[in-house]
Amino acid sequence: MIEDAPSTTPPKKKHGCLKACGLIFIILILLIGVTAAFAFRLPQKYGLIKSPAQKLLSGTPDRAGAEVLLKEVQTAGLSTKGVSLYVLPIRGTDKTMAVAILDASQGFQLTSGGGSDPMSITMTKLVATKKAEELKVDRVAIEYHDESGAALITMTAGADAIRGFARGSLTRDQFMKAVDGQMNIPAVVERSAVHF
Amino acid sequence: MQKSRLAILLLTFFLGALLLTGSGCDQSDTGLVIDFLNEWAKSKGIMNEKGSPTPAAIGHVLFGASTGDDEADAAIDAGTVVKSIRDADKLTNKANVALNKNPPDRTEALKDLDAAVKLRPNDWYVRNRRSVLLAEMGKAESDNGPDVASVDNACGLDSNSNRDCRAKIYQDRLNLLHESSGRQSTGNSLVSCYTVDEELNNASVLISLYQNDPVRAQPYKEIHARAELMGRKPGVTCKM
Repeated sequence: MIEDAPSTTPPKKKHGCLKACGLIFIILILLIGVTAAFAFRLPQKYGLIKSPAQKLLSGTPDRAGAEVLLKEVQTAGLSTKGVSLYVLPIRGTDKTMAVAILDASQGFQLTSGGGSDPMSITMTKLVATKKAEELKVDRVAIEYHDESGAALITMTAGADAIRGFARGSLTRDQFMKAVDGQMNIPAVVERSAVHF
Repeated sequence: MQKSRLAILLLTFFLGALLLTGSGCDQSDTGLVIDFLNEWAKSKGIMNEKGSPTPAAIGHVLFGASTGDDEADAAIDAGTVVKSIRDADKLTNKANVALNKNPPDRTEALKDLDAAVKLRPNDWYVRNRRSVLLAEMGKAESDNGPDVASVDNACGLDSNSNRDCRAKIYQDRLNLLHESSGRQSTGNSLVSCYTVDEELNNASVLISLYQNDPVRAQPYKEIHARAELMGRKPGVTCKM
């Protein structure tokens, strides 16, 4: 009887380990899958969860206000060819966000405004107008599309930080720290390789 | 793990490329953008002074640009919202073209505006155009008009402090109704009673919004009186 027992238990153990290992493996795969899904924002992409943009910026854009703001920015010296500007209300506040699409494939030239730092200059010009104050522009976002129409980067900063930088009360490094952004990595890598 | 490795490899290549190209020598537009990115990545700690990726970089690649600030995240992701606005505006313009045909192609225009509203359900600019067209077509649907929810969504619940916001929505709609009346009354045709009713309702709202401002209320009183006259005998003064 005593000899029988070990002869029957080993296969059971093997079977149990297989089961447990399989279960752990499945759980791990599921965990990785869920983490990856959230990391790559798949729930937002497929409309299962609202993205921050959908939550905060789904209201009616101020189309007329954006037109006036764009004219004022043009008067301030920014070439508006290939520029689309949207003034979006920020939900739950009386403030707005100015979103500028700078599209080189539609004729936008970053260098046309002069200066060696056109990204910061563009941001500054978008908040430094009378209309921007009237529209209570609280944040600026810039999406740059290259000559092929691909979006390379999106950069954003609060209007206070931009104004502070323009006034000189914020150093360039402080301003850069206040800027947030996202880049289209494959497109940037490709463009960078072309520039070698 | 493979994804992480791939991300790190990709990032190393990308940052290496930035370091090599971001020297300021290339003054093309793309070069300037890459220069800016290079400086920004160093400032944000995504890349160290030597140009190597930092642990923050891996998070940046894996998790996108989540900043922890909803407003900044929304700004970064605003392109998706802008795309829906662009698409809805294209459809609205297409609907306008259909309405400006002789005779107006209202069915085609409604199809476009239905699609636009589907894209932008909280956008009163699009909703106004659809509801005015519905009235023009003699249809009164439950969502006809700038419904309370969409106006509240745009202007907040406190109607007193958001008078101008509300007035803008109703004024836009009144302008559209006026255009619609003009379109319908060509060749001595009668205007739809729904359009007249809507003119009456919108003028009433605007009169009440400007009840303490007689000068601003006056034009709406005139529109109200005219619409009242037009809607007096349905079937005779307006089209049923």
